[in-house]
Parts: sequence; C-alpha cells; structure tokens
Amino acid sequence: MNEKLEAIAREIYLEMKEGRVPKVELKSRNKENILFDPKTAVWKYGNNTVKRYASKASSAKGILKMLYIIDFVDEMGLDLKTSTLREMYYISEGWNLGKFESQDESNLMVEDLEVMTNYLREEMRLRPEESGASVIGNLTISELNRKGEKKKLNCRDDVGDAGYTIPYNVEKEKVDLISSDVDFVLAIETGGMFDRLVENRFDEDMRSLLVHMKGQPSRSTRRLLNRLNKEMGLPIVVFTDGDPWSFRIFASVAYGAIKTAHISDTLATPTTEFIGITASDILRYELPTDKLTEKDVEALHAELEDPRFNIPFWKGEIETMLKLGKKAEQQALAKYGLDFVTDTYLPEKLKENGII
Amino acid sequence: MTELDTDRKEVSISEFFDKNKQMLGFDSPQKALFMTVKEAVDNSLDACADAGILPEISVKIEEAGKEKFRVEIMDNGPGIVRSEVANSFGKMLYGSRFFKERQTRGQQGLGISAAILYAQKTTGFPTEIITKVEKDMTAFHFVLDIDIKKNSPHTISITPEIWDVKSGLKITLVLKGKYVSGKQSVEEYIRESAVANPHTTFHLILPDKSLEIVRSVNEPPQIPIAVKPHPHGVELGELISILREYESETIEEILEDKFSRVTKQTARSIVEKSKLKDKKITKLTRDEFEELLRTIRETDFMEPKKDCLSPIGDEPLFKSAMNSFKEYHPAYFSQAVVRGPFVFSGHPFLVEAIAIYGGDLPKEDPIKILRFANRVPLLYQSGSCAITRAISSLNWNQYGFSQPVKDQVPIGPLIVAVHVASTKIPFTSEAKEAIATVPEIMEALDVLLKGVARQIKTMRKKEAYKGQVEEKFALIEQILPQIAEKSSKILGLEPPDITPIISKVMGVVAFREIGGELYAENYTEKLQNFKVVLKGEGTFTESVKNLKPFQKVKLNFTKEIVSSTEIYVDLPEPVLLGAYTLPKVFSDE
Repeated sequence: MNEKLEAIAREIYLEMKEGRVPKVELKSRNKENILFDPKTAVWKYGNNTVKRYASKASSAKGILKMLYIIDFVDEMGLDLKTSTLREMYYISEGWNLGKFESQDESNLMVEDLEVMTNYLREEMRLRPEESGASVIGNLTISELNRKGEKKKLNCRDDVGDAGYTIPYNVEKEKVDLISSDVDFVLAIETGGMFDRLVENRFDEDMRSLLVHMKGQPSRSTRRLLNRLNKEMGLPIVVFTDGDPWSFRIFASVAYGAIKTAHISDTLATPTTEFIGITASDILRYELPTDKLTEKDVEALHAELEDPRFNIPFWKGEIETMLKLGKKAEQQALAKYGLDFVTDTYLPEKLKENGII
Repeated sequence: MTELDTDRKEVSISEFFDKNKQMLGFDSPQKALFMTVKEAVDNSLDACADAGILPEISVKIEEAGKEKFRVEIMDNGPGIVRSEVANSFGKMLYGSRFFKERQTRGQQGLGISAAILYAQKTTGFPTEIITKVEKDMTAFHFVLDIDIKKNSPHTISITPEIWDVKSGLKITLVLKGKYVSGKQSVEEYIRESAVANPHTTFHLILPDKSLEIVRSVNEPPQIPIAVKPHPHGVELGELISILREYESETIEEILEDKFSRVTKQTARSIVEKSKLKDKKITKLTRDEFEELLRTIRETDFMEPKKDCLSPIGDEPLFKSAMNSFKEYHPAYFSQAVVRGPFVFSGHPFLVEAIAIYGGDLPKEDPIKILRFANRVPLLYQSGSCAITRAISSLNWNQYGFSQPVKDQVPIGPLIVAVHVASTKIPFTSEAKEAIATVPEIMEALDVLLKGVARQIKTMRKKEAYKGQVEEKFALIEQILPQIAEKSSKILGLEPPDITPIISKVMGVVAFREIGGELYAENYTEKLQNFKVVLKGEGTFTESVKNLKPFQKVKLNFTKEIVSSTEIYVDLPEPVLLGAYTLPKVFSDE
C-alpha cells in the first residue's frame, strides 16, 4: 500500500545516483493555485507545481524529513501500529537533522505527502489529535468499536446532553449512517449556542440534527457533514458568530480550505447555507456588538480577495461589516431572552432561506 | 597660619563621620550594607595582593532581625598580627601616610572603620574579628568597637582560638541594612569584582541565594610597586605635609629625596627660582609654599615612572569575561585591549577594556557598562563618570548600534567593561563613585573604546557570512549524506556517491575558520587562483595558486589576525562563500 511513498524515495535516490541534485515536486499549495472546479463545485488545487531542490539547506532538510516520515510509516505498517501526528512529532526528536522544529511543520509535511500521493493521512497510519464534533438529533448510526463489534446507536435517545462524539475516522468502514428522521443539519460554531439549542430542544421542535463544530471544524467534522449531505440528502446549515473568522469556518465547510484543497471532494459540501450571524443581522436585530480589531479588518479585506467569497451575497455582507466597523457573537441574541434564538431568530432565518 | 594649624588639630573623626555619612557612602540602609561588604572585600583583596596569595573570599549575609543583617567576610589572606588588629580596624585614617604613591583599591583605612562604627551606632553590636598569621600557632578572636569620643579602638576581648588555616581573616558585623538584589546590590558588586579580579574565587551566601564564582586565572597579579610622587602630581596640602614631616632637612634635599624625577640641579633651580634658598621650613609662609608649588608646576621633569601600574592584562581580562558572562552565551568577545601607561598631572594611568556581544543579552536595552577603578567596581554615579561619558560620546551608529540620542548610552546586546588603573584615580567626589573627566583620561578612553567597538563591528559583519557558510557546509557534510543514506535504506539499496552533487550545490571557493585558522576550499569544477586580503587594524595579504577542485588549503595568517579582520578575496561574488569580493580600491593597492 505504500507504493506511492516508496516511489518518492526512489525518485530521490535515482537522481542522486545519476549525479543530479535531488528534488521533490508537488502541487503548489498557495492561494493562486486554488481553482474552482465547476464539476464538483468545490475549490481544488490547480496544475501549478513547485519543485523543491536539495541545493538549499532548508529544502534539503525538508526532503530529509519527508524520507524520515516515509520510513516511519513503513515501519508502522510492519507492526500494524498507528500514531498521532503529535506522537510522530515527538518521535522525530530522534531523527537527527530530520527533527521537526514545530508540530505545524510536521503537520504541513504530512499534508504535502497527502498532496503528492493522494493518500489520506489516516491511510498513512497517522491520525489527528483533535477531538471530533458532538452530534445531537434523531440520527441512527453504527460505529465499529475497539472490540471490532458494530455498535448501533441513536444520536438523540442513546446519548447524554453532550451528544455523540464522532471519532477522528468517520469513513464508512468505521461509521455507518443508518437512518435519520430530521429535515436539516445545523452546524454550530460555539459550545454555548449548541448547549442553548439542546436545552431548548431545538432538535426535536425543528426536526434538526445539531452538530457542534468546536470552532474551526476538524477534517472529520467536515467529512461527516459531507456524508450527511451526500448519503442522506440532508441540507447543511452553518450558524456562527458574525465576524470574519466565522465566515472562514463557513467557507471551509462549503468550499474547502487551502490546506486541504487536495481532498476537497470528500470534505467540502458546496450546497451548505450560511444562516448567520450576518452583518445585516446586526442591523436588523440591533444586536450588541464589539468593534472590529485591526486584524478583523485585515481579514475582511483578505476575504474580499478570496475567490471563495466572490459572490454578491458575501461581497455585500463583508462590505457591510467593514462599513459598520462592528462584529457580533451568536450569543448576542440573548439580548431578547434565552428563547429568542429558537423561537424567533432561527425560524425566521430558516424560512427566508427556504430550508423550512 | 591658622588654616594650616587645623591640619594638626585633634578632630574626632567619629564626629566627622556623623556629619559626613553621605560622603562615606553610608547614607541609606541599602547602601550601608553594600559599603560594608565592599570595604571588607576590598581590604581582603588588597591584603592578598600584598602577600602574593590567590584570594578565596567568602561573603555571607543573613538576616538577624528586622532590617538587621549579620555580615561575615572571610579571606585566606596573610592575616594581621595580634598587636596591629585593634588599630587596623578601630582607628580611622590608620595606616601608612601618603608619601608614597601606588595603585591600591581603597584609601588608607577609613572604609572598614566606618563600617564598624556604622554597625555599632545602628545595632549596638561590636565587631568580631578572627585572624591568624602564618607564624602563629593559633588564631585570635577579637571583639572590638570604637570609642567615639577618643577616636580610638576599644578592645572588649581577645581570645586565642584554633582555626585550621594557614592564615586568614574573618570579620563579622551586625548592622542595620536593607538587602536588595539586582542593580547596585552586593551580588552585583561581587560579580563585577570577579570580572576585575579573575584570580579570585568568591563564595557568596545571600539571604535569597548562594553562588560561587571560581577563579579563571591561577596566577596572582603583579604587585603594584610603590613610587615616590611625581612633582607635577602634588597638591599644596600634601607639599606642606611632606616638607613639615622632614623639617630638619633643606627644601632642596626633600625635593630630591622624596619626589621622583627630581635631580639635584633641578631641585636647586626650583629653590632659587622660588627665592627660598637657605630658608627654614618652619619659617615658611603660606605665600612661600604657594610660590614653591607654582615653580614646581612650571618646571619640566621627566614623565613619571609607569611600571608601577598593574593592569588586569589582556589575557586574564579575556578569560575573566569568558568566565563571568558565559551565562549569556555571547555570540562573541572582543579581544581585551590594554592601552597606556599615560600621564595626567604627574600621575601615571592606564586603561583597558573588553566588549561582549550578542547571545542572550537584551537587544532593546541600553548596553551594559562595567566600570572599574583600580580593579574596584563602580556601581553608583554612572552618568557623571568618565567611562560612561567616553562611551556615550562615540558615534555608535557607525559601529552598527542604535543610539537614539546623541551622546547617550547606545542600545544593543553589548557589555563593555572598562578599567582605569592609576596611582591616583581622579574621583569626582570623596565617595569615590565616579572617575572625573580628565582630558588625558578621556582621550585614552576614546581611542581604547573605538578599537573595541571596531572589533565588534568587524565580528558582526563576519557573522552575517558565518551563517551562510555554516548552512552550506551543513548541507554537503550532513544533510545530503543523510538523504542518500535514508533513501537507500528505504529501498534496501547501496547509498549513492554524492561527490558530483556537492560541486553542483556549492560551485564556490569557500572560506572557513576552523579552530581559529582560515581555510580556503575549492568547490568549483576548475583550478582557482586568487588573492586573500584580511583587513582590520592592518592589512594582510596572501595569494593562492592553482587550487584544484575539492582541494583545501590552510592560509598562513595567525589566529589573532583571522579573528580580528574581515576577509576579502579577488573572486566574483557568485563563486565566493564566506568572504567579501575585494573592492577595486583595495586590489590596486
């Protein structure tokens, strides 16, 4: 299964053997090389490639580190072991000049290998640290547990108030989506709002499946949303704070992220709707606000340049926010009481967006 | 006449102390604690120096009540003979008179007595001294205080005691004080003393920490020689005292015997010129004394003897800086530079300095200045000191440091340690905290500091290249071989030969310092001929002919030259690593 990884090592070896400076080549991972794929309606890497030659110490070190990872994955394969990305980072302490400077560096390099081989990191026996999202609502799944048994469970009746926590691997072999009796999926950014909707029984009253994204959603969260949409035909609705960072959460769910553009097909759900908080909501509901910081303003301007936001709706919202100079949190809706979000705001917005 | 008589009047020095606490440095509890340690440590260092002993000094400070501290200073010096102890410690201004000049730390005897008196006045505790001289079998334990009225020592008890050392002295005082750490603290004083006295080992036990500074030099410094004063250095009061001390002799004889560089003829001509021939000293008026001094000042003499000074020395100072500042992991040390001796107003002096750059030193703070006068750290009155002024007056921008305000201390990760040694340090005040800005000293410091600053500048320029050179060599010596090894291991094959790749990624003639020596290595694919020019204080040139690909040659420059110069080579930039391309101006020389 590691043929493609071995091919990378072989190419490096052969170039050296022939007296050439070794290099690795992969798709360019900068913004300019992210293109919209009309067939799948997600943003993917284009055809630009970069070559990293070992003639510079920094890229040579990169190549060496890559070889260390390949060797490590090889050895894990022999022992049928897996490791977290963090464990690998610590193991690299013993890798001499192949030692990683930071965990970001090692994560990035694993992504590079994904881009080069089309393997997912899980297939390379590397798993993330991040915990998966929580889910509450009338969805029945079955999960393969440690004992190798398929365990069936309903995400409303068989779980506590914290919901069902999805594992890092939500592929079919691990999690089976059996049935659901909901009309849509509401993906929520903050824990406070998730708990509010759970307490107010929004899942039952509005026949919805609530997913707590825990800030920027992990790969497995996005993969789950993607599967719920593709396999069960459920519309996905994203509900976040009203600030530039939350807009990016939506974009990554809907269109994919730069870091994971090589797997946008399985992670992004282009039909996802954004429900709020929008800049217009701030005006319309007269929400309590905070001033935009310098970084917020910078991020909003960057979003105006970001192809994923290049549609009239987003252009309008971003420009409105810049004009207002203000942002608002989801929980600002509590200005009108604890039930306002479930009784008024969400029903109104869902109706306007044609979801109910 | 009355004015002159006051010199002889019995003034109680203790009363004088009371009125002049500030001048003596005992004006606050914090400073009193500091001064007590300073006086005792300086005495220990001086005593060891006289005896040619490598000093080992312990300082212990412990709290003994509210705002009360027990201070104990112990040395391995020669000790003091039993009959001299009381006078040495208990009487102010006890000690040899000032008819000979030499480079010493403190002044004659005032310091430690002031500390004893201060302790006694603030806590009522007498001072305890245990001392043993080599010839005695036992030590003697003195308990003494000072009779304030009579200005004389009052011994409370003397007990013989067994002390298992060859010789030494331990003094314990209990005084009102305030313990601080950081700036102007006891710890800083000891740390800085260690810089200027690298032959000394210090043990320090403080209320909040203990530390040990081990000597970095194993030879005691040369003992400064006492010399007769130079006539140009004498002040009126001193002149009168000297003449009166020997009043049975003639003025001519005294001038010739008691001063240096005065010949019989000169002495005679001075006396004649001042119209004092055959006058009795006892009969001299103040005007006549003044006339005599004026004539002396107008007379030309040979410069004073200069071999009476004892510098820390370039090598010991360098070792000392390495030892004292290693905790900052400095990027580099300048060489220690000693300049002089020079002369001001008849007093010989010399200056020396070293600079320490980079590492963990703070980048955003003013540079740290360490000031020393006759090996004694100066921690107070920095702003008015000649050393600080001389540093501030340099244009530091020229040396790559930011100096937001002209004539202010520059900003940057730098320590500059400067020592002024002289038979008479011109302090700005009796408190001896700052050196006066005497023109001769300022000029000497200016040249000294420019030299040190230039070294730092050169090293910083070299550092820029050093990174590139190290990176390239890491690439060919480590990274590429590891890539070869790792890829072949994954595939289960023999590692490939990477030699052809090395010249491809290098393609340069590289210059590298290994163990202080300079090497040129040809990593291009053809023969290379070039000229290497090292520029620093001087210019040094060497030519290399027909250096073959992959050949390495050691250049003949000494380590000293290599470490203090920038490297220029007449090769174009793309094929040069670790050196600057020789500018046309130089190559035409």
